[in-house]
Amino acid sequence: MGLISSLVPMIIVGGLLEFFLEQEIRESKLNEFEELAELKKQQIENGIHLTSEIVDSISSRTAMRQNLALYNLEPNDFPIDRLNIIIGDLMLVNHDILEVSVVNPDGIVVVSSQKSIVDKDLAQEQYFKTAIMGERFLDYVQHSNYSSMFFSEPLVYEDKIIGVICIYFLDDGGITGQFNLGETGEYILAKRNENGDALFLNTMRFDEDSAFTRIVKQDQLDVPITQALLKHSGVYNDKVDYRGVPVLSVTRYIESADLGLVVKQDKSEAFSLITDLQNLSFMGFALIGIIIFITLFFTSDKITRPLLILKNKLERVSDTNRDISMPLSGTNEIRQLADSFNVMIEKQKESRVKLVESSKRFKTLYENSPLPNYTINKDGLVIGINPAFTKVLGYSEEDIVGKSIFFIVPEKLLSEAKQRFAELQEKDSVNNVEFEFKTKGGRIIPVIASAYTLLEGDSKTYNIIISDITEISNAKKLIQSQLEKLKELDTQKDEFINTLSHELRTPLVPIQANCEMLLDEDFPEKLGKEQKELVDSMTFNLDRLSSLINKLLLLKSLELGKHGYDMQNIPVKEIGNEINANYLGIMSQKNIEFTNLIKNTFTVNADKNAIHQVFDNLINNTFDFLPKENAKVEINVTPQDDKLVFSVKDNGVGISSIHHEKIFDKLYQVDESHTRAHGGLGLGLAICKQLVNDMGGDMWLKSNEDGGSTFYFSLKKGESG
Amino acid sequence: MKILIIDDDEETCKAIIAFLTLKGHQAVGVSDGREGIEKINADTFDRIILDMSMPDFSGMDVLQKLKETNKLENNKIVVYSAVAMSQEEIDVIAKKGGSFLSKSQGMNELVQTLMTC
Repeated sequence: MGLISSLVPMIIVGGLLEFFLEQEIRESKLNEFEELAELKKQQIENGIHLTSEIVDSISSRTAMRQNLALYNLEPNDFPIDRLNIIIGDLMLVNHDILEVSVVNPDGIVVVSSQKSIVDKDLAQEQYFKTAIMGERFLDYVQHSNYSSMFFSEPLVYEDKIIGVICIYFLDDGGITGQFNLGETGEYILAKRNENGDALFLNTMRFDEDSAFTRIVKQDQLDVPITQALLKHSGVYNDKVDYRGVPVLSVTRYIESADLGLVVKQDKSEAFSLITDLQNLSFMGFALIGIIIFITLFFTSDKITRPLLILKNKLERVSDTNRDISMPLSGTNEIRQLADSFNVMIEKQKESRVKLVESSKRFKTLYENSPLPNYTINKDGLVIGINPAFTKVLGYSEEDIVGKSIFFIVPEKLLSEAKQRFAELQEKDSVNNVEFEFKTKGGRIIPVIASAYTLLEGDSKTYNIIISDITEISNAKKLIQSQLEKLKELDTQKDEFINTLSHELRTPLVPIQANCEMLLDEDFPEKLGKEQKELVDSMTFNLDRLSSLINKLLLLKSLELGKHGYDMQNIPVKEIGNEINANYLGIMSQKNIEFTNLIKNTFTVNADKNAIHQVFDNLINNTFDFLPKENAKVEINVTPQDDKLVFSVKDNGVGISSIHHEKIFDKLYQVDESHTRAHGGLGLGLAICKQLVNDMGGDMWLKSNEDGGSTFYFSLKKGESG
Repeated sequence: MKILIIDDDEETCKAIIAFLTLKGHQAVGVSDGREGIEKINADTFDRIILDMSMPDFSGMDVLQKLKETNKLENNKIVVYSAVAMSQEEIDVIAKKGGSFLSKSQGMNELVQTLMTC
């Protein structure tokens, strides 16, 4: 009795335990299946989304069928080269695509990423028949160590089916791998057939011919797939599958494709743990039960469930060759681990969606870029090019894919190219490198190239964008050569002016010398009055010519910065007096009223010769424009901040304001008639301005056409002034 | 005064000689820098009138040569030139013992410069 009485609670405890444990296991199984179903559903939806995008992109670009007329092709001919490029691009930007083929309406493969199946006749294949009739065919294919989703879709152009496209996607989620669902687990994808019954779309483990043949009647409500197609998302442990075997099942309905999805496992396997438990000896079970109960009491939900889920998930993840390490150092961390695992799965889902989006964006950019793009792998082999590449460099995919990156590099730049590639491998990007490439036709074109890492990891790839700068480069060369020509012309001009002035002056020297001799008091034969006047006139005109040449030479030396200045503090009164003395005679001779107002005590910081030169030029200029009567010239100076402003004022013909800005330019003439009436080359004011500027001042004028002009120039005050 | 004129332009030489002769000086002209050096080495002059831009052997070369052979100090030189000169160049001439006069200046100025240098 003692034993029995002690066993009774044990039995009760054992029974309770079994009950709890079975609940626990069942729940965790169901959770696991639900997650599988959810992921599966998402995967299928993504796949469908992606396929329709691919089909759209291919068929829209096959819209070059419009161009077929231009290409002079038969309506049933496909632009093979073009399709090859499109497919190459697709494979390039979406690494989940394992194979893409385009089949013509006769069932013959016209283009495929798997070259060996080109020309293969698929006319009798169910997936071809389905797709050519306008319906999507969906299947799963198991390979030795991975599984793939297979789609065949009608290729539609202008509402007409012009072919079929077949795509294999890597099913890298690992969820579909039926072998991951234990010995008996599988998933079923089914659509409604014309009778509303469930038509299996994929191959069952226990029925290899199930795809598109096996049907579950719509009134077979005890089969999970019927529930799924009734849009029931649920968990069932009371249903039997298509074989009539009791199964644990999870159903999902995929709205975007009107598909039913079931993830199921034979009950016998699903609850094998429970059966195992039941098979244990009652006592042992009870004893173990007590221990487990105690443990469970504290940790049931904390350990068992997450561990089971985790175990399964880890299996799935490791099946996809993802490198995951999960150090376990205590029970408390299990929960955290499970959490972070879930986060990981979530992130994976998110990044998958993002990847699809960014692939799409990249694909569009890559395809439509006006700039040549090419993609290379980590060993420097070309794996893809965009249409612009072919357009600019002439190479088609066949020409270049699989070739070394250096294939298009001119020989002389080979070592530089190798260096750049090494730089790219090291830094992951190379920007704006001026380079040269060889076109298919053997022409060398200058380019700017940038490269960056497209994909990381084992399948590391780089994308290189190049810009043909032939035109820019030609323009640059042209400008360069024109610039050089201009420089040369400028030098020639300088030399010419130098030579000219020297050569002009040389013959003047003897003429002048001879004139002086004729007029010299020591000359033995005295000249008559008229003779003397003639020689005077000759001398005067010689002076004019000489002064012109002087100006040319002066301006030249000013421009070359060769003119030296002896800057000193000069009392302005001194300058005024000197000018007064120099001009008094000529002014009275010309009947001009000359006023010198430069009488204050300032000093100016300037070169005395230069300041006289400026005044001489300005005063002499007035002579040509003064009226015949009441002519007036006035010189003045007024302080302004740290400057002194000198002025030469006349009451002559004014200067229109339109000339004010340019009047100080070299060779500028106010108008043609002035040139004739007043002579000169338009050098005087240019010289004045240059002299004043060189001494740190500025020059300007006030004038109007009604009469009277005042030229101003500023110079720094002397330090003591 | 005994004056040597070194100028590659013969007309200029002739005119200067004529004017200097009129003014009572003894003037000789040569049309080449090397010839000028030979003349200076062979004879003594009170003044030398030197043109700057001459082919082959320029006025600067003459100044340089005279400096090398220590003949410069014995000779008073007036550089009478048609080319524009910077202040630095004029300073260099002054350093080598010469005076500078632009050819835009006439004979009377030249004579005055010869007298005062």
